[in-house]
Amino acid sequence: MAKPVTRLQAVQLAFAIGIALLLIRAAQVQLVSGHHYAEVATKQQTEPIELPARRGTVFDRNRLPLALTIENYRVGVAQNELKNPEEDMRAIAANLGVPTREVRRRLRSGWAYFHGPYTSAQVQPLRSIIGIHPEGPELERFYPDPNLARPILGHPAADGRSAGGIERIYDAWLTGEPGNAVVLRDRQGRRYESPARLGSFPVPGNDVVLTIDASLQEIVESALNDALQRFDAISGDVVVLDPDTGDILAVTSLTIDGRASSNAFTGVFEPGSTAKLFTAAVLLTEGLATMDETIWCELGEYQTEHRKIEDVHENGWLTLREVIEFSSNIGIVKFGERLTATRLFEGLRQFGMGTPTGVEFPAESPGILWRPHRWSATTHGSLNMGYEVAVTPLQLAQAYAAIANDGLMMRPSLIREIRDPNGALVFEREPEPVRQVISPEVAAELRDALSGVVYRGGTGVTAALQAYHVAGKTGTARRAGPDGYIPGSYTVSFASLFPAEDPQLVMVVKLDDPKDIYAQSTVAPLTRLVLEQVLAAQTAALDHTRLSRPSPPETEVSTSRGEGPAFVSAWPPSAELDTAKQVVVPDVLGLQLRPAARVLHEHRLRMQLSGWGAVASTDPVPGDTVPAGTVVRVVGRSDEGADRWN
Amino acid sequence: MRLKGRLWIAIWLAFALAIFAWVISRDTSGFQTAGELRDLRNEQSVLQSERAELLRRIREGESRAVLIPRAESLGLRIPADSEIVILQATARERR
Repeated sequence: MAKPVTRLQAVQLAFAIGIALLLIRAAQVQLVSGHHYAEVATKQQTEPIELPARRGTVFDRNRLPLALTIENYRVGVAQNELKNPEEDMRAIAANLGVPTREVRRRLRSGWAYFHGPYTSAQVQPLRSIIGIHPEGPELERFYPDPNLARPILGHPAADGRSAGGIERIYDAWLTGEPGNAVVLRDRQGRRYESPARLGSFPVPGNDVVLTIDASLQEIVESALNDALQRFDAISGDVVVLDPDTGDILAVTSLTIDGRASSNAFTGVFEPGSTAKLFTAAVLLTEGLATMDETIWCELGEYQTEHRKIEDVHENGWLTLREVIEFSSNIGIVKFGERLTATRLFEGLRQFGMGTPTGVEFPAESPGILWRPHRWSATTHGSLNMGYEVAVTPLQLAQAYAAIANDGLMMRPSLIREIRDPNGALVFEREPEPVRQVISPEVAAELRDALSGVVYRGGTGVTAALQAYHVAGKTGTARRAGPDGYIPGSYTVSFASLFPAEDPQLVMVVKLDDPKDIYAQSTVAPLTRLVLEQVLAAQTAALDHTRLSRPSPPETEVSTSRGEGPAFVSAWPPSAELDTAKQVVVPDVLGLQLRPAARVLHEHRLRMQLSGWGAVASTDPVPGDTVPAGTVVRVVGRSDEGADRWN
Repeated sequence: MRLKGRLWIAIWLAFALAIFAWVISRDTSGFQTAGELRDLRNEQSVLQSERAELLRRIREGESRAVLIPRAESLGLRIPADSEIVILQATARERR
């Protein structure tokens, strides 16, 4: 037998070899195959997950939530895992709002899945029950008032559906940034959250504050719905604007079967007599007529070279003011004959006919207004009466808002501001003047005529309030279908300003194919009904302080850039141009057409357009000195889409 | 003074145990915190869903569709504009 020392040395050697082998293997595992094993282990024990970001809330102008995001769940139940099946089934039924019999029936197959969706509050009491497996949370949109302004709000993209409405236009602002994390998994695949493994927190989306006033919106939706039933109209629209800012305070489009749409932005109609005011505006601006000038209205029948024009009443001599008040077709056509086709076209275009308003809504219609070279022999007369031109209810409201706002047209808008999740202001919309359509004096004369429509025995007397004054104009036009005018079918509309002396609201009410075709007995009283409700309601849309003032206050309108005195780039009306003044043609090369037009108009120059896109050249060239009012020919980079101005 | 081999082993063993205990307690605390966080999130989610439901009920309750029939059943009606008196605010109130 070996000596103890030798034995000890042998044991030590064996240990040393064992340790050496262990170290070699450890080195092999750690250094050579370390990455591979680490990956395998990570896959087995962890799972990267995306943490969805909460979508921003959409508020009305008074910060009332219209659309918000909540967490929803689906619930799975394994029947064989339930400890007290009867008691648990009753709990499931009570919390999920499903009848107990139904729960029992569905659990017969051993596994039941309740799609819901169910809120956290519904699911929370079930979490402690073994056998119940909540799935989620999933962030979903929730509408506290499911029907209010839904076509305007639209919906976010989901389940293969593309987004619509405000949710689409402001999707980039509303969508947050998802976070990420790694959860631990055990052998059964159960997940365990670990704070140390959070990659990044999700960042919620921004909140969007609309210009819509929920109280006013509810009033107009309810009034329009009632009116559709009462007058048996197939559809209708109401738009309410703040003329000072262009804020859209309420907008709704409904059909008689209760479907809501965005027709007020996308659907066009011939405005009929509501457009007579625009001809009068051009006549007054050009100095071709005065409000007190009379014209012979042919006792209700007027035969022109190409057609016969009729009035409802056998009018004789009427002033231009009375032509508007009594809505004489013959009167306005005869007055309108004083205008050239180009001037009439320009005048209507100034009021926004044939061009989109620029409201933040997808697929807004520009309406229809043909250029004079495409007019037929009857177009001129038709345009004076509001035919052969098509507008959206919003366009008509914008045009009337310009009259309410001393001739200053504002861009209508649905957006008031955008705030980040902490409430800090990210974007605030400034009122954006489009152009000075008519002078304040002409606007005042038109408002007086509109008052007469309601208070001097005109066609809108049924809109009259007693304590406050309404001004407005009725319109009745034949409805067009795919095969021309539909016999016996009319669109009635009423465009109104309230209060008449210092308008705070401009409202367009329109009904399609009512059984009573007179605006006086349909849309005019509907307007009064809405105004009465607005007056009685606690809505911030109407400044009651201003209503109580004995005289209208001075109003100031700032430019969109918020600098200098109130001034608007105008499509300069001839009457206001001092052609003796020389101006330098500004450099608009490279600008898009709209900003280019703004700059040229600010320099009191007119613009003639060719092509589309950014400005490629101008004639005269930048730097040339020309008389104010000179037409600058602007050539866009692409000729594609030139007809979009038509 | 030289420490004997067994004592060294005991020290290393104690050190290793302390490390293990520290790691385990850290893990436990992590899971506990994660659990608390989850509970808080659940609670927040429950409160938010309750808030949303309350909002819905308030909006429904104050809607004209609900209020007007009730008001009419009490003999009330929407006033005509001539029946509404708007009091002029003082300059101070306006500010």
